[in-house]
Amino acid sequence: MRTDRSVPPLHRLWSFVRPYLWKYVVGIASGTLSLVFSVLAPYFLRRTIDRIQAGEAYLPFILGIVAAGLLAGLFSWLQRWVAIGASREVEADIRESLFRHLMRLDFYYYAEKPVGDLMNRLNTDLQAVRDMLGPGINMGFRVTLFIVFAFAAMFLVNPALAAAVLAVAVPTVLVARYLMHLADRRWREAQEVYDRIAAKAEEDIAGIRVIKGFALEAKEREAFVALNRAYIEKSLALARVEGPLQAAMSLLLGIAVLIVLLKGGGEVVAGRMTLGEFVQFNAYLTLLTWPVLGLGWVLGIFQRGQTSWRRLLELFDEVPRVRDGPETDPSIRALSGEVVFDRVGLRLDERRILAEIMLRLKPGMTLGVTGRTGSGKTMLARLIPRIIDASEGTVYVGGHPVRKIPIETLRRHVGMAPQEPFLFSESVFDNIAFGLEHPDPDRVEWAAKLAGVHEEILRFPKGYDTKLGERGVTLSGGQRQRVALARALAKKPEILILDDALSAVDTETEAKILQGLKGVLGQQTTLIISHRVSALRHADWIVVLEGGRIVEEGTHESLLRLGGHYAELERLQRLEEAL
Amino acid sequence: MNQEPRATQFDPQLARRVLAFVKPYWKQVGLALFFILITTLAANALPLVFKFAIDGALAPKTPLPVAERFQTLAVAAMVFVGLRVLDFVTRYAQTYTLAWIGQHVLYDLRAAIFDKLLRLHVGFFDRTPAGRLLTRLTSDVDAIQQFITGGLVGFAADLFMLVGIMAFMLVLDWKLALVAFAVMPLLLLVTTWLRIRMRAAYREMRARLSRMNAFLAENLAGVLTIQLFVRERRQEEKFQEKNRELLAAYIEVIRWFAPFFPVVGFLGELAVASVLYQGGGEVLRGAVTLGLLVAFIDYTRNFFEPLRDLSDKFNIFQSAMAAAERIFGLLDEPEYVTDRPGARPVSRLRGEIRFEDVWFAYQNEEWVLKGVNFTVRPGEKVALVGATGAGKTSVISLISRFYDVQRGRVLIDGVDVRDYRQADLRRTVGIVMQEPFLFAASILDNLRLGDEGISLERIREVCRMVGVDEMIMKRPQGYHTRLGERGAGLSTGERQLLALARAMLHNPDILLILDEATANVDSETEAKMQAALERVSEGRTVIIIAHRLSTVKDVDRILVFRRGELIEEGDHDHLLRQGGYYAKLYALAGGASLG
Repeated sequence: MRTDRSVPPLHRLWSFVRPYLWKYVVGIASGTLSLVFSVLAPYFLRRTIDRIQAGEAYLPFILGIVAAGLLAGLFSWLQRWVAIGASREVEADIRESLFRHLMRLDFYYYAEKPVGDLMNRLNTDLQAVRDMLGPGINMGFRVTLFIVFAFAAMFLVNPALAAAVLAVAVPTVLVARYLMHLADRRWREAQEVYDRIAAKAEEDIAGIRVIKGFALEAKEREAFVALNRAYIEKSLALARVEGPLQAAMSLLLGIAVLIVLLKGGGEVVAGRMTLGEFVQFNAYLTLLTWPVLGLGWVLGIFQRGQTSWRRLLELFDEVPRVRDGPETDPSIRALSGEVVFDRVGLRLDERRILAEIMLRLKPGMTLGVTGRTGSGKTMLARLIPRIIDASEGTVYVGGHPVRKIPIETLRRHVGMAPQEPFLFSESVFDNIAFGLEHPDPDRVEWAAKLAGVHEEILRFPKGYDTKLGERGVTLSGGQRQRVALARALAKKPEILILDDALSAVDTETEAKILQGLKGVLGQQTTLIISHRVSALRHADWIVVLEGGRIVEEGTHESLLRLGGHYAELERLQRLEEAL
Repeated sequence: MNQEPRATQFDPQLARRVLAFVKPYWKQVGLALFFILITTLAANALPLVFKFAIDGALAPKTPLPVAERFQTLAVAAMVFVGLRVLDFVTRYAQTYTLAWIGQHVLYDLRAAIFDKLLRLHVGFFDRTPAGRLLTRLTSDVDAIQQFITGGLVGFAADLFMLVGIMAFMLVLDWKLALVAFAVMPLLLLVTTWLRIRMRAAYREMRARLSRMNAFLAENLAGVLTIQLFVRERRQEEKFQEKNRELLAAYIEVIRWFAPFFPVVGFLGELAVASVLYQGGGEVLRGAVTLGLLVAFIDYTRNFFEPLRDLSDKFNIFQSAMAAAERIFGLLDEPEYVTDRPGARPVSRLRGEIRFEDVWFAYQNEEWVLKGVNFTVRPGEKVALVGATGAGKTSVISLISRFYDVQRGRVLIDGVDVRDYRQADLRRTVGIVMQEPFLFAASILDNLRLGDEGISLERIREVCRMVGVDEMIMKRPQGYHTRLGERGAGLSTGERQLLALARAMLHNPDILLILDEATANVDSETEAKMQAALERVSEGRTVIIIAHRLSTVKDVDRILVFRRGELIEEGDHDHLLRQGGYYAKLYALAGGASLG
């Protein structure tokens, strides 16, 4: 969906509703018909009563009641089926377009938004919008129209009596509205306390060691119980409003009935009204109880629906910072493995992450990167496939500035294996073939062999078809890393990035895998980020990062001779091995 | 504890346990039932008023004087008002009483769960995600409340009403009543059938919804991977597939749901029509009055409402059963670390710690400590050194008795820690965690921990000693600065200093245990911490998990752990001279940090 902030929120909802407009029209039309028949039933009732009283044949009118009831039911069925179904379809469309949008939001967005929050929003807000479009519209329409029809019918029978009933009905609606409003407010107050109870419990569970460590159990219990006591109070305050809501409605409508009984009864006695008409009036009043209550309910649904829709629009209006723009050149299709960093700097939230990075990787070259945690290694790698964009300077891939390359093209040429890879709860095969246009068993197996995980996969219960994740096999850290490496290799990327990608694998296996990569591929440009000298030593060029700057660079031998950070790292690792 | 509930059917034993929570309020339940009874009677008497008015005033069988008819009408109106007011009062009282019972049961349940949580040992929390425990306290408890107020009592209310209406109808005219009831079998048949279909469709919908949500959650979590592998479009297609499947399931639910109320409505009209047909003939024959016929129409209409609600209650029962199973699962969780009967109270300790052949595992036989023996003298300052996983933290946890040993004993002042009252023991054993936990409250509250007896002066004194007073006073609100969740707004170093101050304030007497890991602390804070440690260790036994050389050099004795065993002990120089594991660790650290 194109985002345009100048369009009012409900118009943007309209674009989702429009495709199903005919369903709404059918729904509303059948709803109207259903109402006409519902209102007719009391009329037949009146005629039946009058006939009975007069001692005449009444069967046709009884059949009228049955027919009206049948038709009212059928049309109401049709309305519910069509219109509620339509709201589900609109919901599905919105959900789909949200998903599409979410797939395009970038690292910057997800770094700040916990997935749990997003899921919550998608579920609760979408549901509120759907309630507005389904039951909201349906009920709102039905309830309003019913009130109108019922009063119209009453006026036809006896205008004076109808006017008297209306005089009572209007304040009834107002009182209902007020009570609902009050109930809503008290509900929110109760909810606030409830949230505090939940927060308190959450905090205490998280801090259970402190509570036990300081023997605070009794105090915490007291605080928790006090909150619960406050919650009882708030809830009962709510009950005091909610309780009378229904009771008060029936009392107020009782006044209307009383009017009919006294005034209408008087008219009957005086012979100005038939008994049938009297019964008809009462029938309408009984039927009106629900719509009067329902009106307030429907208004609430609309309020919540609109608030939620606005929140969803906020999500729709998030624009990814990393995206194809006017400078993108769609004619770029193929890239060589050349990577150049030209005075590249990076800031995130005012924090300097990288500065003055100058690097040139010829196609086929292997670059080793090392440095302490937080020195900017991972961010350096992330600049190449544009997970993030440089704040200063330019990154070139295949001779083009990365911003000119269509993102898809760029990413198809880069394979990345991270330290903590994300695998999907699908089969091992699907995971390795994740980046392939057409899953190719030979390619998958080749990649798994290269990543040194093929034999282990064969030992899984169903080999390559073994499902991973919650309902499947749980992989060890090292296996996860190697599956992710295979996934990156299967793409046969021009540029391969190993971001501490074998840290959970023992040094020996790692060396074997790296050796294998060199032998078979050789032609791709490789970036190896590692803390291990053993992984770096065969690189063509090695850089040491500290505080986002390159502080040392050279070959393994030249860096050892230099006697700086790299040499120290090498010394420590030698000692560790000896231990 | 099971995440997926197994109980979806009615389980009498579970229901009994739930009802045990209602038992204390049986008087209120009785009161609610009384109100329900009155409401039923009042509601059912209303149609009779109309019968009385119609037969006596509106359409008398024998001609009556107009004045008398008006008088009858006036009486009817008065009775009507009286009944309505009674109905209002009892309905109100009924709703309120129900809410009152529900809230109090809720309160008791929450308190019981919370108490249980406080009694459970720390190991339980290591295994169980916090979110799951929170669900027990919130949505599961809510489901039980629904069960009690909406389900159980609502069930009773509907039943009363149904029986009431039927009784009134049968007494008034049993033949006409049977005509009205004639539709009932059809109604039950159709609604039961629809409901079964609806439930099946609903279950399928829930399953698809959770599949879609799982897919959504996974794809959001792995969105960067998807983007890197340019898989957006194919994931969208997959999502679309799941979304459409869900939509189809929704439509199926609607298919069965849509006719439900229309069918019930039509059958209601059908019943009214049959009553009218049969009753009309009887009126003509003079067997019944017109007023009775009109009253019967009212009864017939009212009759359908509780009938429709009644079956709704079963859904509430089901979800409550599942929630109850989860809650009682938690309440039945075994408590491993408990006070022995007649556990020893203690207010001061000399501070002698002894481990006697201690074997300890967090689970099964994966030993973390294997036959550890050592003694720390009162007032001694000892450092624990070793690689990650060597068992240092476990030693600390065992002294505080967060866990119990499997074999051997941990003694403090010559008494097994299991013989002390837990609360007393922990009040005298201060502990500073690796990742200190602070509450979302003011700094002052975090230091006081609810003990209002600690004066601000005393607090500042301790903070000055620890070297954190200056940092606190620099903030605009000083000690009243509110911290965010888990102490957000402070650096790790500041949090550690605060935690140290907190421990000092509450356990100033006997023994202080510091689990100190200062990897993320800048050098200035580190220096402060060092100085603070120096000051707090005076006159008390101190055990430090040490990572830095400066700490180690200062202590009286170093205990070196390796894979759960105590392999070397002595002071720094002694251990270096010995040229063992410690010496190697020291060399490896290059004089910077240990383990």
